[in-house]
Amino acid sequence: MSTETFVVNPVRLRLRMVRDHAMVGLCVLALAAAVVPLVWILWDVMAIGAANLSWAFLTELPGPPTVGGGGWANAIVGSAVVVGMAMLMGVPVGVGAGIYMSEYGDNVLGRATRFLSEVLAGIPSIVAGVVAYGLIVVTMGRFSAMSGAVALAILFIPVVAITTQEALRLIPRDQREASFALGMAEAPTTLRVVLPAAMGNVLTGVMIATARIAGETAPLLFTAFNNRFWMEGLDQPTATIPVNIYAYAISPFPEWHDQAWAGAFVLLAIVLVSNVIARTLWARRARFMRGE
Amino acid sequence: MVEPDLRRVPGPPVEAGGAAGPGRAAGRSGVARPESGRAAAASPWAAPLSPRTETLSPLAGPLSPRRGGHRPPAPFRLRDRLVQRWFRYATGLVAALVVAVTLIVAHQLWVGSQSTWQEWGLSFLTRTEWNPVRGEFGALPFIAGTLLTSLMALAMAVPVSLGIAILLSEYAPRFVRDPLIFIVELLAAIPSVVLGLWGIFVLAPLMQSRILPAIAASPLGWLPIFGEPGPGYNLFTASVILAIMVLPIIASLSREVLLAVPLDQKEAALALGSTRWEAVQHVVLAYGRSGIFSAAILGLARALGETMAVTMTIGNRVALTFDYFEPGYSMTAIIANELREAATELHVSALVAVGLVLFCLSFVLNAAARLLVLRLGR
Amino acid sequence: MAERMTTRQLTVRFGNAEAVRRVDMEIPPRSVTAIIGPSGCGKTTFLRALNRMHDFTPVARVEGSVRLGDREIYGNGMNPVELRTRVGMVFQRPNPFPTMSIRQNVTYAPKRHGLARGPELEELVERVLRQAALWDEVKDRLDHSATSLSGGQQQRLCIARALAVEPQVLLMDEPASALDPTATQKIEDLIYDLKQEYTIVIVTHNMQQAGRVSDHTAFFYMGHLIEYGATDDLFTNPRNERTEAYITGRFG
Repeated sequence: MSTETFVVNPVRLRLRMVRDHAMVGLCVLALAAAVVPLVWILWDVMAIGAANLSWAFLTELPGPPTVGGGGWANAIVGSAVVVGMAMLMGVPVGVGAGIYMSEYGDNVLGRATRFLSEVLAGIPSIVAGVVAYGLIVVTMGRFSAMSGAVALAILFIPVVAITTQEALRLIPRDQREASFALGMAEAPTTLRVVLPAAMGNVLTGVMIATARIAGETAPLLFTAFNNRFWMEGLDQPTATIPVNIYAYAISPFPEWHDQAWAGAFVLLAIVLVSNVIARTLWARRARFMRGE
Repeated sequence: MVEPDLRRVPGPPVEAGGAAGPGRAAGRSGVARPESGRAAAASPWAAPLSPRTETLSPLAGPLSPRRGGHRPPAPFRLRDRLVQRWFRYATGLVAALVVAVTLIVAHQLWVGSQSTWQEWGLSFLTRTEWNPVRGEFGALPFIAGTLLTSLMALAMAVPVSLGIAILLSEYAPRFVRDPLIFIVELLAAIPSVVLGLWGIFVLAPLMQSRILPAIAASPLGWLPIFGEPGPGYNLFTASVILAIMVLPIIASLSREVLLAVPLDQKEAALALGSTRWEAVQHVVLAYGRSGIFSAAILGLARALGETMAVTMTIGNRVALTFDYFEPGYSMTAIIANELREAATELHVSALVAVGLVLFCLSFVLNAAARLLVLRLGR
Repeated sequence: MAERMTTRQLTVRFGNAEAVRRVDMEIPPRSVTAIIGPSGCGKTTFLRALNRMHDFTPVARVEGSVRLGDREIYGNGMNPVELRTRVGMVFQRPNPFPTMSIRQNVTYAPKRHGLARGPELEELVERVLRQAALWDEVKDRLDHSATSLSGGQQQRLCIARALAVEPQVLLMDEPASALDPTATQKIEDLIYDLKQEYTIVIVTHNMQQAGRVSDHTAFFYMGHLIEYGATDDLFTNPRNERTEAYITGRFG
């Protein structure tokens, strides 16, 4: 026996191996192209934001533009109120629709809900603002926290509905059957077996959707609008953190630019922390269900 | 040994008829796809950070009904039957509400833009003048600005995303893969307005002082889309910010597509003496072609609708330009800047009309992406 | 063309689990060697160690020696890409490339390796498709998608595709298990023809098949090579009681 029949041309093979390695190198470069801006942005927000963050920023009302000072307490409260109201409207609707799509959705209504919630999830966020503007701001004749919450709820509902549906679908069929086999009917099965098992993922979906609307700016520009003072009611305009970041960033005052960075720091912290909490929740739930 | 509760002995199908006929009952029993189970077992690091509702699964339809298969027992007690009916109706009502909200959104955009359509009809889309004082409105500069920035963003983001997706699905060992997925998803979680802030104070000045002159001096500068370097707020800067925003979306969707390529396809290529890259290029990418295309379309849809980061970097100048180094305007930016202060009914309706165009574009793109994947899954 | 393969103390581990344990085996050229054994006995793992397919499984560790002719395939001098052109593989389920035509499936590997071009390539396509007994069935539709073929035809296409790089050894992992009896018959006939030119190793859990097509048979159990010998001897006169128990159907 001999091994003299060289099927493979060694030069060609060498070139192919070089190309193989070069392409991996290019892929690593691509990853760097994503990681570099991420680190850069996070670093800038952390460094500049933290430098301008103070107790007063979190607890005081804004000072006059030319003087500077003061804080964004009203915007922080405003954001909490607007996002809270959007969740109050959105969680029951989103989770309920998700349950319906997953458990009873094999009919016209189920298919329509599935299709339209995906349509709704795909619309640009500013379009939700335009709709809330037309429905509420124009009708009431003024900007209001309420209209902002409606705009955010339009964005919140489809995301929660879809993630809830997917979370429920992850629960294996045999768990439902086990419950049926014990004589449990459909509604108790959903409420006591399927939903608790999927709760981790449902909550993760809710928290992630919340983090998203907490950072939304565009739909609030002409709904919740802005306010230099404390919000006086749900039917009154209110400041929010994201809109403030925008307004301060495009202002001509350097003091305000610094405050915009501080606001970005607060917003990013809220968004990232809630994402991490959602992740931890998810991981703990997954560990529990694996029996660890 | 578990004793069944005799009061809840399954009744004949007729008993279930109160709320659901036999036909409807068939669809109730839930079937979880086996693939979904795999996702549940994935590492906690792989949990999505971003609110990503795009899914490329062609199987995202209803739970498949098993006719004549399993059916839950009909509750015997009246109270249980009422609870059951109530629960189904309540969730159904809520689902109907989602349908209603979507229809209201579409209806509101249509009604709110009527004055514009009556005034100009479809020529609103091709008119270039936008003058609120004189009451002249045309959407072309904004449509052009949106398309130019989105397409440029896609041109930058797709190769990079694909490289990341290939690296994460084919090459990276597990212990670096999961943290890297986390990092890429982190990028998707940064709010648009924060990116815009960074764009204003970091990227735009850098563009003006370094990057634009460098591009103009390089061979790329000969391209007709690049004119004289000017201020840092322009179509190109907006495109770069948009690319950063859509990159994680395209990357994670493409990664899912690549992971779905059957192992035996890769192995067939490797067993024939392909290098790993050749297996990726000729077999994996070829197999996932339409899925990757769908991912790019969904990325485009996201870029079209992006508002704050674009508004803060594009320059906000109403002009029909094809020079990326000049300031421009986008559909989202004009709404963000003017709806607040629009004084005349016609002005408001023109802005709502722009919103309607955005709605239709994103609808068409989302539907196209889904259809493509369905065709693949056939 | 055909080459001998020799393993010495070949061990394959997945993490802590040993799937193949210290196997010494000599696979003679121009013959068919069948590997039989119950599910999970390590026969597929063994087969995949012969063309280094475990390279892509991060947890897999291969120890010991495997030689192709007189070259150590796990040694420094052997590029796994080159190795796999010499040691081809056919998988359990037919896996033609669905995005390529029948012709492209065959020409894919020769093009990569720069083996042939132009008219040579056309000759190669005809030759290997004839070798795989598929030519008459597909010669009029070479540009159709490979997925338009039946399962048995697809598997023969996969064999043709593997033959197109002119390998010295052909590894087959239960190549007929996903096929109907008629298609199985064709694959078995094909294996019989191919052994004139190639060293063939076939994993099967169908003992009748092993008896029909192979010259030598190896019985694996719990990762160990229990018994190895001429097929006729092993089936009529097994020396090991576990082999006997298995081939008489008392377990497995």
